[in-house]
Amino acid sequence: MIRFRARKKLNMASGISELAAEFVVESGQLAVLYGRSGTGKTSVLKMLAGLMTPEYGHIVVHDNVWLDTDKGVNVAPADREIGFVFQDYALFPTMNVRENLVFALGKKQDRKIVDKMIELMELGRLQKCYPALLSGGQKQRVALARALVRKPRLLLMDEPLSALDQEMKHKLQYYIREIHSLYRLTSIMVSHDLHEIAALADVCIELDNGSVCRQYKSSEMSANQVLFSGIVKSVLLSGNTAELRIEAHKNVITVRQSAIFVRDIVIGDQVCLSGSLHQPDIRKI
Amino acid sequence: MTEWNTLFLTFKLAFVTTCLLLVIAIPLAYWLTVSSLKIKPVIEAFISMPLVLPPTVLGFYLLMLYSPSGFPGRWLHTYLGMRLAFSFEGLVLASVIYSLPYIVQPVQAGFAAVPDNLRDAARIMGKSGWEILLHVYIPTGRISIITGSMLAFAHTIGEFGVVLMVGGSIPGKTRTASIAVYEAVELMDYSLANHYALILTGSSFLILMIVFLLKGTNLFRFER
Amino acid sequence: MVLLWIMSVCGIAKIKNILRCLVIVCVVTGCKPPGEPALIIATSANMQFAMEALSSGFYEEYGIQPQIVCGSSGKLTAQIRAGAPFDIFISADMVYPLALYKDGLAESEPLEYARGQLVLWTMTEGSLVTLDNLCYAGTQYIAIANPQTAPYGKAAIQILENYGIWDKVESKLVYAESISQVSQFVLSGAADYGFIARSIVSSPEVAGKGCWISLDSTMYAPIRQGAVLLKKKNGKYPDSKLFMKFLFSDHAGAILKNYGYIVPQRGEEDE
Repeated sequence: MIRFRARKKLNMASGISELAAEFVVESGQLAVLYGRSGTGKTSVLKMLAGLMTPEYGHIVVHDNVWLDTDKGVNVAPADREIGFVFQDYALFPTMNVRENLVFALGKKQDRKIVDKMIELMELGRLQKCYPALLSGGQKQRVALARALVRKPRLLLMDEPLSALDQEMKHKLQYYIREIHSLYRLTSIMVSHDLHEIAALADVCIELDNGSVCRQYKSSEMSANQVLFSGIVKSVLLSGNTAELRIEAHKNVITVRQSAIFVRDIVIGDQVCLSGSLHQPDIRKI
Repeated sequence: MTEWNTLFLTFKLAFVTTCLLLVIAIPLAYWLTVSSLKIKPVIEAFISMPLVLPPTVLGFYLLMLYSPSGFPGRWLHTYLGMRLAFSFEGLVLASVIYSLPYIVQPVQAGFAAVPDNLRDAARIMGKSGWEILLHVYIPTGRISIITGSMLAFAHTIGEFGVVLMVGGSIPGKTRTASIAVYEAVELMDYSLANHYALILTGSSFLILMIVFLLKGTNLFRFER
Repeated sequence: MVLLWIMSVCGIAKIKNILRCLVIVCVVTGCKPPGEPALIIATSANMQFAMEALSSGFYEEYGIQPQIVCGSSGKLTAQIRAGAPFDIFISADMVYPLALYKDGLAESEPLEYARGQLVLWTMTEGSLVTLDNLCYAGTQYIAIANPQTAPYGKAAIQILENYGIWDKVESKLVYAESISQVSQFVLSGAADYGFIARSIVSSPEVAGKGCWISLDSTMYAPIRQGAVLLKKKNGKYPDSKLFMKFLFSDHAGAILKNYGYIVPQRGEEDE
């Protein structure tokens, strides 16, 4: 179980705002953190990783106290048993795929896990390649594999799939789901893709104005609860499905819905989404 | 031929200085890149002084420092039997101080260009500062390291004011090519001066060209 | 006022224009120093302090303040050959001025104005200063002026050879750029001993620092120091001739003797 509580002043483009977030994630759950840009989602991940220290904070993970500012406890990132997948992959450019994974290993760890990861993520052909030659999807698979070689207790992912195309996203969502259940991980992911959230999340945590305004299980989603509202930026039709990109508070959210339900929606329309994550209701405001 | 002795001495000085500088400058540049201590600007200013200070000022202070009647000089003489003035070691120390900013600044710039999240990723993997420097920053910043060492090397070859002040122009020990050219001109032996000048210019140009050629080849690219 | 007028004429509105005009003004005013060009005397390094005294004396008598340029005799000769705008060359020997005369760069033959004396100088306290000390293991560095360009350096080598200790001390020699740098090396303690001109250790600036001994003048070729008037394109030498006259006067002779030079009897013939 993960218990997170922190307060920190953040310097954002919009000015100095305060992050004051608190949430709980049960073991084995995949939680998705979402919300406007600038509300501190990446900062939350960084605080969990130990890369950022809040002014006040209390973080307990699986009964281990990682941070307690009152008592002066601050466990180093290395000791926190975390895997972190960065938005821009953060692969070491001067090491090939295999070397990137080996470098991530702990001092006494067996190298066999590297081979296992390579097999799991289907990276066999790419082992000796350097990151510069890999596609976005391949890089992200390597990043995911690298985050997992140390068998972390907690997997943190910062918009890992945002730079990928739809097909790649699906494929990687599959990998994430597989790994999550295979290794019985607890994961926290930042995402803006409603379908991704729908596909992966056990728990959704919404951040607004620096604090958690909602936390709910995705299965508990009920109709008429407004999820987002924003302006339609693009409408892409392919067969019976329409893919809409909606700008909501500087976030761009991608939603797919049957073309019939959105046929009167055009670019520039103000819409709001409600209902379940899987089949949101899109209505013009 | 004394000319070859002098040239050998000059290149030896530049080589030894550059090797020492690599050992000093790389960790220093790394610390300057990742540290957020308040004292950083003070240290950066100190390191950069030789860029703006006249070499004769540096030479003057070193002469005082090296002198056995002064504090560090006396300690060195009493406990280590060393006298730095008029010695090759003294010139090396002077050159290290004098050429330090010429390597620290390019390397620091190169390290600053390494994305922060690479360091974050390495920290999460439990890598120590030294491991991160060795495995992440040095390989990623290799071009700037090479550029910096070439600059320091060339700068040391061209050193004159400091060597004049503390060298004593001893053939084979402290009479570097720049001093030899100066003396040759004083004696109006222009053909000798020309000899040295041509060799120095030619070798400096060759070094720089090799560096720029290497930068363009795949030797330094990780795209295999 | 002129500056403001120029600026208004240029119609200044922007800083660029102001700067441009400032540069022009500085260049124009900088080019023409007010009054007559000064008398420039190139002096060998050993005469540095004595020359200051001589130039004050000259000013007292004639009201003209000469400009002094110091350096090793060899370097100054090279500079004169390259066209340096000196009026008079005061050398540490006769060879350099003679060479200039032979090259047609001097008005007349060089005249000996003084004879220099070589001394051995050290800052190390306690021991008696002798040439034997140079051979001791404790003596690591002996500074001499570069013999190729400084006559005092040549004299030092002659002394070492004539006393038969050259082989023992050659490896300890440190070559200073000029006699002034010898004093730098000795004063800072970097060199244990230095062969230097008596005029320097006698000067008020340095007197009392360290210990020195006079060296037997028969053991080195006499350091006959010559002065020469340098040729000027326009053929006008009023101040220079005045200084040369002063240099050989009794007033100057007294000053030179104070600084440890041997002054030849006025009217003595030179070889």
